[in-house]
Amino acid sequence: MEEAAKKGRVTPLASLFPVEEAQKAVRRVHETLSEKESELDRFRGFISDNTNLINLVQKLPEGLHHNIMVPFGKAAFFPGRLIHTNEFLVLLGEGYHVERTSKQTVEILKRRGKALQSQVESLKATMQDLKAEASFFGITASEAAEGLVEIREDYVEENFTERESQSGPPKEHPPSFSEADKVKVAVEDEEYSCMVSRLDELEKAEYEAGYGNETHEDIENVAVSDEEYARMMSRLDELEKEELEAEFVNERDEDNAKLAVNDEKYAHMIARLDEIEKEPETECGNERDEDEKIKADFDQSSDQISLDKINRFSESRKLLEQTKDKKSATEETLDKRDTQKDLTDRLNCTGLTVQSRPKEMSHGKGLVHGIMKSTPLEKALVLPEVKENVQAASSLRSEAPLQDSKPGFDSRKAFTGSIIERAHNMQTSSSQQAATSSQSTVTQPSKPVSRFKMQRR
Amino acid sequence: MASPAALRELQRELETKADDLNKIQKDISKNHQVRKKYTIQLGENELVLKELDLLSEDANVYKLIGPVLVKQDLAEANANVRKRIEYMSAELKRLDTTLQDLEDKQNSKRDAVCLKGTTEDPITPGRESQGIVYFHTSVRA
Repeated sequence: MEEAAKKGRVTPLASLFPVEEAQKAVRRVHETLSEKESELDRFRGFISDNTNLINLVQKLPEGLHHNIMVPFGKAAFFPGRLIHTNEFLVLLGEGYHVERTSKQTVEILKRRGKALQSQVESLKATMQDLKAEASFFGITASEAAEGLVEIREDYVEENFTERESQSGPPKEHPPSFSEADKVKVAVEDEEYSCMVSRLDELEKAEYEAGYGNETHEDIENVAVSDEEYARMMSRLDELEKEELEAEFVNERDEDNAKLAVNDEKYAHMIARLDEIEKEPETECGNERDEDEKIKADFDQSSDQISLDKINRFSESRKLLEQTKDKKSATEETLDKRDTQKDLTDRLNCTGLTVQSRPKEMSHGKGLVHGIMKSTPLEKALVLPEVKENVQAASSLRSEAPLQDSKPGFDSRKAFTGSIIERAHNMQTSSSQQAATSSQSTVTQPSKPVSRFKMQRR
Repeated sequence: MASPAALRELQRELETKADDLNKIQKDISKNHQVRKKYTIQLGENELVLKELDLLSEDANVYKLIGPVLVKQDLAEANANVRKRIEYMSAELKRLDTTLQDLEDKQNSKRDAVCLKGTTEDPITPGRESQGIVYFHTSVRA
């Protein structure tokens, strides 16, 4: 295996959990379980006895005396009378008896019944735990018997120091990186499929929104999809960051490979988005046309913010296409950026979808509102991720105070907006396009920077 | 290569240590049983106390002493039950500390035996190791 990239350890499960022992454990747990079951039965017997007694005690005072057969010794009875039918000597415990009436006795018995019930409940809970344990042991035993193997690999933390240390040896181990690439590619594929399915859902939501054709609906739908949009924005940010970092030298082959994969997916996404956009709109046009259309809409509304946003969208679009061309630009050992790479892909897709969504909105009238709404969410999302971004010590760090919305990107080291670390790159301010007034917006349209830069809030 | 006499001596030491350990284990289990009994009784007494508290002043309380049911004063019964509860809690605490000591001793003894076993191993990987194996199984059980 590649020493530089990762060290893997393969351990057959049978060695960790010997089959016989696992089976023995299962048997032991079963025994304890059966013991608990018998105890449970005992308790149930007690509870039923208690209820019977309560009924009897309630019935006795109905007559002044009862004629009964009195037990005499072990095997004899004689006819007799039960008198003082309302007086009961109740055993409290530890040899203490107390004289009580029928009603008081019933109260005592009811309290006892409650105590019994609570004991039964706790016993049932214990039994549940034991059952879970038994099932776990059983599964382990069967897996060990099948020869399941546990593979452990060290998690390679991606950061600069590691990178630098790797840049020396990596050159001598090109195959290791390709392996890492493949791993990442595999991961990316998964994410890509996730993104695709997500896009489908979003599309559906948008269609439903689009046909309502009312501002309210649009806004509501926007609100719903804002979360997703925000997620996508954050993803885009991460991708941007990755791109920025990609400019930090090192392995070209890897980057090229990854980039190729990325671009492939990107192409897919673009195609998809185009389809989506075409559907709700009668005029297909190309992206630019739609952008212009949107811009026209915005011009009508004197909302500078939305305009900026639109600009950003178009710019990001342009950037996306530019990145396609500049494969060589993004060369960087993305070893460290496993997760980020995945995020990049995600962002890629999300960014595109985001762009398509506003276009669909323009169909209705709530586009401006929609965009305005999405930005705060976007900011909120990006914020927590920004913190995680170590390398993004750029001015782009947005300080949005909102931290509540953190969609499922937690597992990734989201890095978001700050991206802009490039020494030679200006992008810093450009990313900070804020739809709201709180953030200054500087658009960097024609720079060959990260395509995702623009989307920054 | 150790002489057979030294070997036998080591074996004997191992056996004595194993016996000690067994004794300690028995003590621990006895302790557990007594503790269980006391815990149950304590629970019962607490229930009794709860019921007695619910009684009115003029209720008749009887205590079963052998085959005799003796009438008792409510206040007296209360006091008796409370005292019993205190006594039993103290006993339980004492038993807990004893149990702890026993467990510590058991652990140390077990380590000593293991050490002994391992040192003997390279010399004769025969009976000693077998003894250790048996010992371990008994401990586990």
